[in-house]
Amino acid sequence: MKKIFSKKWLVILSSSVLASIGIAIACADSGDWEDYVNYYSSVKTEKYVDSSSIPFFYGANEFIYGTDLNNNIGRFTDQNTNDWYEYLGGALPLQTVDRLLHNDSAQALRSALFANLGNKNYQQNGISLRNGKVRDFIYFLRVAKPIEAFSTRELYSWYYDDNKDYEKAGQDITEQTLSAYEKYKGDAFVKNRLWFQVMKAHFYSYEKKNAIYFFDKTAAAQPVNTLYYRALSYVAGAYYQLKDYETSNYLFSKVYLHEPALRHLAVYNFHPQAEKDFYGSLKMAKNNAEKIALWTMLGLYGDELRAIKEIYALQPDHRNLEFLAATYLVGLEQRFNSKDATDIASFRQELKEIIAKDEWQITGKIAREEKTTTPALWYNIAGYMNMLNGDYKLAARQYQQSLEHTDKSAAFTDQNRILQFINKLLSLTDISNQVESGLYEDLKWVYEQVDKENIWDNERSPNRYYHAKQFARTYLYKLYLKTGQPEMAQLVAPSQSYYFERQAQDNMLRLMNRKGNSNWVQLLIKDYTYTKGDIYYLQGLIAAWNNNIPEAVALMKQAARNNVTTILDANPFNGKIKDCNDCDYQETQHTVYNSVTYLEKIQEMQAYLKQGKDAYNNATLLGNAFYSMSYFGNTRNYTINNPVIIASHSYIDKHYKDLWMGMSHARHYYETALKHAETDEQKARIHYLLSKVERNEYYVRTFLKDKEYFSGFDYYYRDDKSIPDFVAGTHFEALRNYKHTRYYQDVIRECGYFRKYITKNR
Amino acid sequence: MSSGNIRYIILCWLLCLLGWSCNSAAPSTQPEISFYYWKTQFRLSDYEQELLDIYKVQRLYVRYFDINVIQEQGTSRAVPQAVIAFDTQALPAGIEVIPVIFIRNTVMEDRSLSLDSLARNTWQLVSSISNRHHISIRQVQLDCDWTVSSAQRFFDFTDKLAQLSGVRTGSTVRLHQVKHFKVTGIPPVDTPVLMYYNMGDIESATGNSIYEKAIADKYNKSLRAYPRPLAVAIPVYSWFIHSRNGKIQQLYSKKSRTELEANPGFRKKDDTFYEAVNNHIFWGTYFKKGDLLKYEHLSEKDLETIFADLGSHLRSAPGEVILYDLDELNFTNQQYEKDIFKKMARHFK
Repeated sequence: MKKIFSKKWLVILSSSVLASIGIAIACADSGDWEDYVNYYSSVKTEKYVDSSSIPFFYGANEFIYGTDLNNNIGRFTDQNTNDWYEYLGGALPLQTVDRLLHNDSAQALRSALFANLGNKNYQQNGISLRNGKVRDFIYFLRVAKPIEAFSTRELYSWYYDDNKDYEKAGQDITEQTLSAYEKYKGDAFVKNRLWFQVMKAHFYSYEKKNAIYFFDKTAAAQPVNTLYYRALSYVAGAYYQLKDYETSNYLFSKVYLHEPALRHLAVYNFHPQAEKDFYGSLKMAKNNAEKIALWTMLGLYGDELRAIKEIYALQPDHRNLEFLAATYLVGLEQRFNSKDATDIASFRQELKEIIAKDEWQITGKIAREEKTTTPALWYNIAGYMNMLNGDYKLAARQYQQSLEHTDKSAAFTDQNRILQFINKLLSLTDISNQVESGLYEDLKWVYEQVDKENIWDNERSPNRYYHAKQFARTYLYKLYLKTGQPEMAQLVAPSQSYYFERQAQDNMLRLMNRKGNSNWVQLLIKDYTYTKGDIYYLQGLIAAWNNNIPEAVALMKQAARNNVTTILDANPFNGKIKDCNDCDYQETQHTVYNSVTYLEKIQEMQAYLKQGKDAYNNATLLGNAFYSMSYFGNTRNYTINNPVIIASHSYIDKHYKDLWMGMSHARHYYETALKHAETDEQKARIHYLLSKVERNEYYVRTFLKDKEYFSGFDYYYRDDKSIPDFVAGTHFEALRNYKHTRYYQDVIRECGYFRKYITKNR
Repeated sequence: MSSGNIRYIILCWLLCLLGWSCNSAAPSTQPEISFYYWKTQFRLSDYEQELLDIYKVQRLYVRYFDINVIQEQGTSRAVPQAVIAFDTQALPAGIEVIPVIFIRNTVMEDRSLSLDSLARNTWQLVSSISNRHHISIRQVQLDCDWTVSSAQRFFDFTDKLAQLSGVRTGSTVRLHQVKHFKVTGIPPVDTPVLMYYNMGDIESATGNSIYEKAIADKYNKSLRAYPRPLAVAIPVYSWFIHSRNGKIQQLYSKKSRTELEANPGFRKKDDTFYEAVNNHIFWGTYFKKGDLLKYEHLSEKDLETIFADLGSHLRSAPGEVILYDLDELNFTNQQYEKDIFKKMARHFK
């Protein structure tokens, strides 16, 4: 995403004359995405206007195409270099001119030239002072360079001296500059530049207001060029400091009017404090052009419609109406987006309330009269307003009228189709198969365009599709809720909580599996966030947690047939002394299990156990398998890979929590193993494994109880003293009877807590 | 977050505990009152000077600059922003200035930035500002809303700065950092300061982001468990939150409610909300009909509650209460008596 400075932030950067402003939160971390024009807009208004209008398109909190205001220092360097090069008539190469003007590394060279300015025979680095124009250039540099120390402040420097805000040019500098200007009797080009340096010195001095006095006294004799308007900006800034906002803003509007290179700067510095300041400025305006400039700035300052109304009255075909209209339409879209009632009638009512009475009067008239430079844009605005107001027929007609005022190229017909589609949707209060088939082609088209669109590339695409798709989904959701079609509502507004109930899962599967689904339903299913496989997998997980293994196997196989399987990160049949997932993941797995083979293996062992085959071993391995399936085990990816279940390493929705944290099946199989254990080694092992079960049950009862997030309860936190030691249960105690076994010694070695336990309870 | 990180933080926390155990200040019965100074231009009004006199202020915590990250040609650079400028007016005599550096958490999150050079740069700028204005410093305070993932880097940074500068260090500590200190860690500084404000999110419709008793209560019980004695910072500021269609536009601090109520362009809905009744310019901003201004401030009763709650929940009475921030407008806009905090301090015994 192209990140551009927010407007408020730029105000700070662009003008040191602004002493206090509100705290800008537009540049805070949040909201970037939502403030991006392709996210919230369905109308690419840029194609309706002259390219000169586009730099002033304003979106949510910022100019959509940015400005160069973060590079104030460098803005005029090229122009300066070229102007001087031309003046010097080839006496110095372009690079030398540039270097002497702008490069810090030329400091020594400049000093040498300054020192020898009186010596016509002096020559250095190919620069000869014999040429009078070169001498003028060096003379100018000698005057200008000391001021630069105060004007070209480094924005972000670790050197206090660079943070010049605290220090202004002293009287010595302003006086030197003034005298150099007055003394100079040569070329008008140089004289004009020296004059600008006097303005600059005053502006960056402790007495800014001297910039005003000097300008008033001398400006009439100056050519009206870019320097003149730069100087006028200084005057405007000085008035701002004097809190004469009327004059300040009026002068900034003149800069805006006459000097395109300073337009954004003027706009950012336009800063009336109250209504009376603006009207004061307006009184100073000498003609319509000046009034229009002021109204334009007010439009960009916060009220495009008010500006549109006034400018239209003065000159209906003024180009500034183009970007003000675009800004107004984007504003309508944002207001539209802020309404979110679920109920259709309430939503329509919310939309109706968006537009105030005076808005109708202004925009309706402008669209009707077709006097602007972009009637097509205005018909879209009128159509959009009527659409919000619920007059869908009129809206459709006006969108069509808009198209009639274009060349009907693809960009415009597509735009028309987007707007007509939104309008068509909004006109619906019910949805049926017939309605769906009527909308199908448009919806399909929008979905396809979104797939082709690069949403981050605002400049390339002639249209915006993403927002239309999102709107279609939210509106269809409202319609499906209203008509009582929860599966269809789910398809356009995916939510994991929908799947909490088995019935809902089955309903969705039934819909997805239905033969003869319409194109419409197929399109929605294709675009849907979850697949059939995901839902089978979820059901498989739940069945397995409930120890309903045959069903779980069948479901996981269904999931696999629909391309959803998980390869387990570790062997789930191992039962280690330490629960360390990472250690298990790193171990070489001789048999790699996936979500199907894992459960099949369980099923196989359950059958053996039932037949009484190798009961101890099978029961132990089944205990391990169910232990691994739980939150405490080593197969977390088996659970959390499923996108429908809301789970992570530190979170699971409360709906699934008991299932995932349950120990009952692991306990059951370990207890079965204990019954069949013959040797002390075997008994020791099972007592220990059961003590892990006891430990987990203890934490589920205590520390993890009612916890929404349980980060902190993990192997990695084993040193965290905020997690209480569990109160040892019967199996820990029982293990003490097996001191003579090797397994006991292993536990002593690996389990610090058991070590502590037996020391304490000796 | 990597496991190593957490372990390291916990380890560090233990080491720090050991290192600090002999370092706690003896609590005095009456805490000293200090102020933060948070404006970019240092200039004291007569009123502010008087506040310093009334509370016999010994220390002024002056924000010197912020540190932020900017992107240049695809690489990150840590930079100082809004560096303080001092007016020609002399600094108040006999008051110790403690520079405060506000560091955005993004600086600490950005692992491409070298902490060594950041510490060097920071100290260089702090010392050149101080030297220029003949301020001798004995302590630097850092203010950073660090998180679990940036804690270790922030702590490393404070260590480096302490070593480089040889002066004492302090750090603000947010309520969540106090409550979850076992996870977020404890900054390895000489004086941690509990920041008892900025509690909630800035919201257009509900709550008070500066202070809300209900939110504070969620944390109060944890204060006692914090293993270090804490100085406390208490809010005296107020602000208005401007929203349009539920979306926040801007914050206005240091603005007067009286001025707002005198503006016919706004209608007072209740004690908290004002609604624009027409489109107009005010406070240098364009307001549109229907825009809302939400007033967030602390009543005298709120302040009483804060002092009482802190008095009963902190393990030891704070030696110092720092008020945020020193600006006459904070007192006049909220109609606080100048000596309002004198009687509040009785809660600390």
